[in-house]
Amino acid sequence: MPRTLYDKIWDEHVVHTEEDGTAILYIDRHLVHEVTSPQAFEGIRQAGRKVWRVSSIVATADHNTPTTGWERGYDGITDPISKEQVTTLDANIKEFGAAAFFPFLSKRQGIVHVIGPENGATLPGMTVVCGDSHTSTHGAFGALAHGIGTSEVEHVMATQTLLAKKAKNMRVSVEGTTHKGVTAKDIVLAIIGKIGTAGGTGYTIEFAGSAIRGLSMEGRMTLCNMAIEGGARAGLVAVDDKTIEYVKGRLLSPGTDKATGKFVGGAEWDQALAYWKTLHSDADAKFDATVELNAADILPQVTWGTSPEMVLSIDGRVPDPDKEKDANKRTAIERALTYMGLEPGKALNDLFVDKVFIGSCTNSRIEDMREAAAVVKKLGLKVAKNIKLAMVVPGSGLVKEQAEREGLHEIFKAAGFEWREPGCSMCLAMNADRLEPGERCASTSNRNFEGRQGMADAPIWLVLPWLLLLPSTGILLTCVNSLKGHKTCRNSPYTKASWLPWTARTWTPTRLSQTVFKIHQKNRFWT
Amino acid sequence: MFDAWRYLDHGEPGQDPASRKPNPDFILNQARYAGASILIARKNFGCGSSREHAPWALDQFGFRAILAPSFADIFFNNSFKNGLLPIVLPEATMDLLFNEALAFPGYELTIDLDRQVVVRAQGEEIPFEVQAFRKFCLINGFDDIGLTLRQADKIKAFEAERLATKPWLAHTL
Repeated sequence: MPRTLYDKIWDEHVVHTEEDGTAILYIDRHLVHEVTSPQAFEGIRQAGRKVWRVSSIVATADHNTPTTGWERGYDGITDPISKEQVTTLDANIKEFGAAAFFPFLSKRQGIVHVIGPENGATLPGMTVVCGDSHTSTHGAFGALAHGIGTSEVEHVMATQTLLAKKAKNMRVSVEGTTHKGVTAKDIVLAIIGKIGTAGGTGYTIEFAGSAIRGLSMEGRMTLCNMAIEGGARAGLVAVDDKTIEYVKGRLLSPGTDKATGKFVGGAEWDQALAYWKTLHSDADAKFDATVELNAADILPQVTWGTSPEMVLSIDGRVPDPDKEKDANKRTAIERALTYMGLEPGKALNDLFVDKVFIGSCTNSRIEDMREAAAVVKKLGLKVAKNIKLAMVVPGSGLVKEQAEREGLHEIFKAAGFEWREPGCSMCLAMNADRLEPGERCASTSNRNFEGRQGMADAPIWLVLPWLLLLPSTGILLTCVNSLKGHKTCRNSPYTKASWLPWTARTWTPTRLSQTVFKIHQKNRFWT
Repeated sequence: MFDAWRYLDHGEPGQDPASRKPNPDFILNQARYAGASILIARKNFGCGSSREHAPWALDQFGFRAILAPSFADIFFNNSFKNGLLPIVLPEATMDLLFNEALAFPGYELTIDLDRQVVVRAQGEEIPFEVQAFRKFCLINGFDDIGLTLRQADKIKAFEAERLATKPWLAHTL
C-alpha cells in the first residue's frame, strides 16, 4: 500500500501496539534544555531508574540564558530561578551523561532548535523529541519531530519510547513561485491564516509543492517551526538533495571524522544515504486532508492580534468585529483589538512600536541575519530615536561567529541595533530580555499571545526579519521624522522607494503616502 | 494559573497569594465559583507551549476535569499525565453548559469516568469518548513509565536491531 512520509517514519518506530491503538514509539533523538528537564531528571533519580540510552541525548541551555554580560560568567544570570535551572542542567548532564552537551557560555551553545540541525543531531528519518513545542522545526529534515511535556521527557529518558497514538495525515502544498522577498515565514503565516491555529490539530502536516522544494533548509526549518502554531504537533518536508547537502559533514552525522570535523564518507554514509532517499511520500499516498495554496498569492505577512492566526498581508487592514457573524470570533477580535490598541480598518503598514526583536527559533539563523543586514546596509538605515531597544540575537554561537566573520554585526551595530549573545531571549521572557507594561514590540518570533514576551499589557507583532525594517513597523520612524526635516534621513536611499522587494501589487499607502512609497518593478534590490 | 487575569498586581515566586490583590471581575474570583473542580472552556483550549506548568497549575487550583469542544494536542496529553481529565464535547453542548452555569449559582455537574458520562443536575447524561488505555491508567492511578517498562525486553530487542542497522543514531562527541 502506498504510504505517506509520516506513515513510513511512524511504521519504522513502532515497538508495540496496544489494543486501543496506543503505540510504544521508539525515540532516536532526545533534545534537552534547562526548563523542562529538571523535574524529569528528578523523577528518574527518585524512582531509582537509569537513563535508557545516554547517546540519544543532546543538551543545551537556552531559555534562561542572558544575551548580555557573558564576561561575568554565571554571575551574569541575574534571576536566581534562571540560574538554578542552568546549573541544575549542568549537574544533571554531569551525573547522567549525553551524546553532546553545549552548556551556557560554550561556543556551540544556542537555541536548542538551532543547534540540533547545526551539529547533525537532527537527521532524516529520526524520531526527535524535546520538551518544547517548537520541536516541530526538525521536521524540515524529514524527521518526525514534536514537542512533549515534562512527564513525557521523563518517560523518554526512562524507556527510550513514547506512548503515542498515530495522527492523521495532512498535506499542505504550495505550488508556484513566490514573489521576491516573500519568505518561508510568510508562507507559514499564510497557511495558518488559512487553516487557523487549530486547523492542524490531530494531524501531522507534510509541506509539499514546488514553493516548498524551492526553500533552503533554513527556510524549511522556519516553516516547520510554526507547524505547531497551526495546531499540528509535527510538520514534515520530504528529503531531497538540499537536505543531504545540509547534514553532510555535521559533527554527529555519519561520514564525519570526529577529530577533524570534516566529511570523509564511508560505508556508514552510503548506508544512511540509501535510507534517506526513501524518505518521501509515495506518489499515490492518501492524505486525510489536503490544503492548497498558490505561492503567487502570498505577500509579506504581519500579525495584527493576539494569536498567530490573526494575520494579514502587509497590504491588509485590521478587521472590523462588527462584520464578524460568529459571536465568539467577534469577542476574540474585539479583545485582541483592545489589547493591541488598534482600530478596525487600520492599515498594517502604519504601526508604531517601542522595541524590535530579531531572533528566536523561528528566525535567528544565518540566512535571517543576512537578510536583515542586507536591508539595513542597502538602505543605510538607522534605528529611530523613539525606539527604546532594537536587538539582534543570533540563534547560536556558530551563527554568531559566522555573522561576525561576514561583518554583519558591524552593519547592525552601526545602525543602532544591539548585537547580543545567543539564546531564546525576548521570545518568551524567561531571561532578562522582556517587554514592560504598555511596550509594543515587533518580533520575528512565533507567538503573539497576551503577555508572551513579558508583561501582560504588551502587544506583539510577528513579522519577518527584513520587514521589521519597514518604516511602518516603527524602526524607520527616523524616516518619518525625516519628512519633517530631520537631515539624517532625507537622503536615505529608501526615500527613493525603489527597493520594495516584491512585485507590484496594490499597496495601501497611508500617512507615509505615495511620495515615499512607489512600487517599482524595476530596480529591486532583492535579486 | 491565569495570573494576569486573576490578580491586579504583579506576583513574585514564593509570594503568599493571600498578600496579592485579586481582580474582582475575573470569573473564578467570584464566590459562586469557589472550589470549582470542573472547568468549562471554549475550543482549542491549552493552545501554545508544551510546558507542563499549564496542567500543573490547573491541578493545583483544584480542577480535576476540563470540558471543551477541542484541545491543543500537547496540552491534552500532558493533562492525562497529571491526573487531569480533558473531555471533548460538541460546541452546542458546551453552549448549554455555559448558559446553565451562568444562570444557576451553585450549578453542579458530575463526571463518571467509569461509565464515560457527564451527569447534569437533573440526571441527564452526556456521553463522552476517552481512549481506553488512558482511562485504565487514570482509574487505576498507574504510572505510564512502569506500564511501558513491562515491555522492556521488546524495546531492548527493537533497539539492538535498529542501532545495528543504523549505527549513526548512537554517535557521540
